[in-house]
Formats: sequence, structure tokens, C-alpha cells
Amino acid sequence: MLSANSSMQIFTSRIFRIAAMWSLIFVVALGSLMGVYGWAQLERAQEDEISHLQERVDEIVNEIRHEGLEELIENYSDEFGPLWPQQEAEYFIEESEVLLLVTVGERAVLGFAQLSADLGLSYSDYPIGDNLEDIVELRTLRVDFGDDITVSGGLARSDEIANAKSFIHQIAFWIFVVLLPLLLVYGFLLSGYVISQLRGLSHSLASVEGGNIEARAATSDSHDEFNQLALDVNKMLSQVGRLVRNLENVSVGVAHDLKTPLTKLDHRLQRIEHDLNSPDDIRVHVEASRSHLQTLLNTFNALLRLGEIESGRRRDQFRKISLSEITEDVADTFQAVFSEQGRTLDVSIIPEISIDGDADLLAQLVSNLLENVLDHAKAGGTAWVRLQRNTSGAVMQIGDDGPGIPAPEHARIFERFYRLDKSRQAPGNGLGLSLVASIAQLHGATISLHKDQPGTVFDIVFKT
Amino acid sequence: MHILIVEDDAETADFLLRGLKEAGDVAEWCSTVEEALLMAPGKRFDAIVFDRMLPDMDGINAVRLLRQAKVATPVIMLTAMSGIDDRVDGLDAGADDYMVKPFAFSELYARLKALLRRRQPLESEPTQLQVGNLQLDRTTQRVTRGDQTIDLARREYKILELLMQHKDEVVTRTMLLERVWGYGFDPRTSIVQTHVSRLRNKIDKPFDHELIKTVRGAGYVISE
Repeated sequence: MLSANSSMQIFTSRIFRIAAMWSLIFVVALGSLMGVYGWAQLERAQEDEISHLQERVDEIVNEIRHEGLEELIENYSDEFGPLWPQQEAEYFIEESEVLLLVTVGERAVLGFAQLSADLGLSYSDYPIGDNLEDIVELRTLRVDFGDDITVSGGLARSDEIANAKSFIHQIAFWIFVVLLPLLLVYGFLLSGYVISQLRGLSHSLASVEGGNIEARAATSDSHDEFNQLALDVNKMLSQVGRLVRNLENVSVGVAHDLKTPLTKLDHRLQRIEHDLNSPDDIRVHVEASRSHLQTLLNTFNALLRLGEIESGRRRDQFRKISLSEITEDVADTFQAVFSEQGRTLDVSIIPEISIDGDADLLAQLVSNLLENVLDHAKAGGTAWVRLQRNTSGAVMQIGDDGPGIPAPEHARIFERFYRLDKSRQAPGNGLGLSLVASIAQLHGATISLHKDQPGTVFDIVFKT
Repeated sequence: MHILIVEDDAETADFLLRGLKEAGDVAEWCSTVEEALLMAPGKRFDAIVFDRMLPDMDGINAVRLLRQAKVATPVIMLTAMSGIDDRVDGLDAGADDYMVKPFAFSELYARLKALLRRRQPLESEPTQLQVGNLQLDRTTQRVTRGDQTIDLARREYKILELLMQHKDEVVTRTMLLERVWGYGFDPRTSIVQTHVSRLRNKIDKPFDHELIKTVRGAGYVISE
């Protein structure tokens, strides 16, 4: 799946180094914690053991001091005599009892003769079994006092200590031999995944940089961050693509939409020159010239306004406004124009829908969409303006029952200077819907065109 | 009217000077803020037309200086930009109105007239407006012509009110859009024309004498 080369790249990648560092920190922290716990257990078990031994030896010493050695030997030799048989030691060891030995000089006088202990606390081996073939390690304590008397005690190491030791060993094994490699493998796979995802993205970006503006990052249906990132990148690339196409349209649009009125103006000026002796004709030409100039100025104004909207500066002036009132107001104004042209405008607006926005721009949005209807819908047709609430906010619908816009053109109608009418003879400058789109975008609203409905139906969805 | 024009572009200044002269007004011209600040003080001028972009200073700062020097003469600012910020900046600095270049002379003239009227303190907003036998009562919003009461839609009423406030003066299409509709943009559709024609159908058509007249290329005027 991964070549040696890319494995190297993973090992040297920042994300793997981070994963490895965190694995180490985790393992060391966990190991220390467990180590401290195990060590405390061990200490406690050893203290118990020593105090048990100490108590028993002290008891014997006290008895010798108070009652004398003979009395002691007398007391302890009921069953077996003063020196106890070797078999009994095994029983003592199993029951965690202290093995005892009292000597006078070199001679054992009471207890287990096999027990040998150094002065004070120490360890020694003790043979058990029928032929003394097994060795048990004992913790020992020897106390010497007057008349060459020594008292020794021995205690087999308890299970608790063995358990604590084995616990420490096992923890060390699991943490350093099993967990750490697992974490490192996990870090490696995770890094590999992240790197391969990022590499996919950077490939598609490189491809775009190389001139293939249509290249997109691979996406899936999953909801993970990488897919989200890929989707965002693709969205950005689409936006860039639209801007590039916009720029192409702008060049064509400027060339055409600005050149046409200028040419007409030039014609009028030539005719003025020709009609110099007829003031009435000149008046007509001047009138026409001004109207051509007005067309030009309108285009420039629309471009300036687009620039202003797209700069986002007007967002600073947003305040709470009634979308219902603004829509109602514009619709009401246009209703007169519609009825004058023998068309119907059906207005249905839910009152008191408010959003944060710019009243003037929103009025222009509605106005431009209604002008679009006037320009393109069929004579005598019906159009409508609706404003309703939906789950996330409000939806405005402006539509007509006219010829509609062919589906392949849907994606492009919001581009600057884009005209359905390729001859560019129809009214308008191809900026009206661009303005609508930028106004919607400025307000965080989405605008869409119904695909499977006759006529042209725009939905603008606002968040309130 | 006596108008001071502060404009560094000779062609624009000439266009304004000629227009004002033809209308029977007196106009003087200077091309720098320095000159303007020397000429403006006192009560010599009825209004000042100030270009936004001048060689020695931004027109906005210049107007601010004028106002600080207690020069209260009304100012109309001219600009090549149409951003709403510029408009707000201009009005904040103390300008009284704001126009985007290029403009029709008739538009500027109508605004100058309106500005001077607005400045006359004694005529504080009469409640009864009258043109010929047409009467508009601003408290009851009742409109009558002769002895006939006329029902007007809200917007028709506002158009008529604005026209009657400026009796015998041209009210331009842009002024109507700004003051009746409150729009800062210019719809391509002739909504002003449509609504004015509806208004005319109600107040003029049934009578033999027309009060509202169209001024070609400029706007509308109401007069006896």
C-alpha cells in the first residue's frame, strides 16, 4: 500500500513525530504511575513481614529475660522435645509462621536447628523436603544477648511480595513491549492516512495551479473533517472558476455593452453634423445621444455598485429590518407597472419577518428580480412574489409562468454580463442578476432556480 | 441665486457656470480649497457646489473646515464615486446634499432650489398645501380639488405632497426615488413614470386644467 519512499516520508512527517512523542509521553506517564503503585504495594508487604518477624523474636527474647531459658524450653517442648523436626518447618512455612531457633554458644537448644541467621535483619536459604533438596528463601532476624544466647527467627517471603514484584514486571512488559509499539504503529497508520488525504488535496490544487481549472479533490459521502475540507476546497475552486469565467464574460461584456452605445452615440454625432441646419432634428439626436450615454452610465453604476457590495463594506451598516415590509413595498410599486402592461403580479407576504440587513440593497434585490420578470416573461402572464417562514428562517420566491431558462444556463445566469439572449438585443445589461446574487451572498442568503417547474422561479432562502 | 462653484475641472465648471447664467443666477468659480476658504465666509453666497476631489485637499475635509469656521452656507457635494460610505461621509462632514457625477444640470438645479427652500426658517412646514384649486391637508391626509375629494394610494399621496412642497420647481425622477421610495438605486423600470401617471389620472384627468407637467429629461413640476 505504501512504498518504502512514502514510509520514510511518514516517519519524517510532523504528524508522525507528534504522534510518536505523545505515545512516548503517554507510556512514560502510565508506566510511572503503575510503577509507583507497585512499589508502594511492595513496601507495605515488606513492612508487614518485618514487623511479624520482629514481634515473634521479641516475644521469645522477653520470655527468656523474664522466665529464664529453661522455663522457655520447657514451655515449647511439649510435643516434639526442644528441637523440632524438619517436617514441621514446611508446615510453618506454608502457614507463614516464624521459624525459631535459640542457641547457647554453638549449641541449638530450642527450635529448628537448620536455621542459620546473620546478626540483625538478613536473608538466608533454608532447606526443606524429605532429602532437604528444596531451598526456601527466608527473611531472618537474629538477636544476641548475654551468656552467648542467640534468638533467631525466619519467615518465608510472603505471596504478597511476590505478587507485587510480578505485578511490576507485568506492567513493564505490557506498557513498554506491547502498548508502546501498538501506539507507534497506530501513529504510523494515522499519519499515513492524514498524509495521503492531504496529498490528494495538494495534488488537485497543484493541478489547478497547472491550469486545469476544472480539477477537483476527490470526495466521499462521509462526514469526516477531510471530506469536509475537500468539499470546502472544491467549493473554493468552483468559486475561483466562476470568477475566472466572470472575468471572461466581463471582457466580452465590456467590449460589447459599452461599445454598442458608444457606436450609436458616434452615429448620432455624425447625424448632428449632417443636420446642422435643422434645430428640430438636432434636438432629436441630442435626446437620443443622452439616452445612449445614460445606458453607458447605468452599466458603470451597476459595476460600481457590484464592486461596493462585493467588498462587503456595507455589512457594517446592517441592522434589524423588516424583510416583509421591504418586499411588500417593492412589490406594491411594481404591481402598478405590471397591471399597466396587462400582466398580473400576485403578492403573498407573511408579515413581520425580520432579518439583519441593508434595506436599500434588499429593495434592489426584489426590484431586479421583478425587472427580470418584466424583461423575460410572456406578455399577459402571471408572476408572483411570496415570502414565508421556513424552519431556518425565511424563503422568498419570485417566479413567473413564462418560457423559463434552459437548464444548462442555470449555473451561469448570475455571472456578470451573462445574457441568455446572445444577440444582446433584449433590454438589460446582464448585471441585474449578478447584483441579486451578490446582495443575497452579502446577506448570507442562498439563491436557487427551480429546475423542474415551468417558468422562471427563484428561491432566496434567508436565515433569520 | 448667488452660487460658488469649487471645481478643479474647467469643463465641468464651465458647464455649471453656463447653466446657472442661463437660469438667471450669478455664479463664481474657484478651483482650489484655499481660494474657496477665502471666498466662502460671510453671507455673499446662497449655496456652494463643492467637488469631492480637489488638488489641494479632499472636499470632505474642506467642508469640515468650512463648518468649523462657522460658515453655514448650504453645500452640495459632487463626487465621481457612488458608494454609500462616501455619501454618509459627505453628509457627516456638514454637506447638505450629495450628487454623483455625471449628473444632469436640471437635477443639480432642482436640488439647489430645494436646498435654499429648506433653509428658509420661517416657512416651517405648513399643514395646508395648495396649488390652484388643488388642496392637500397634511394632518388628515385629505386631498381635494374644487369640491371633490380625491382618494390617493399611499405612494401617490407622497408624490403629490413632494411636488406641492416644491410648487413651481422641478422635482427630478431621482429626487422622487430618494424621497418617496427611499431607494438609493435606480430601477431600470419606469416606476416613477408609472406612479406619476396614476396620480395624474386621479387629480388631472377628470378636470380640464392640468396641474402636473412633465419637464422633458428632467422630471415633473406642479404649477397653476
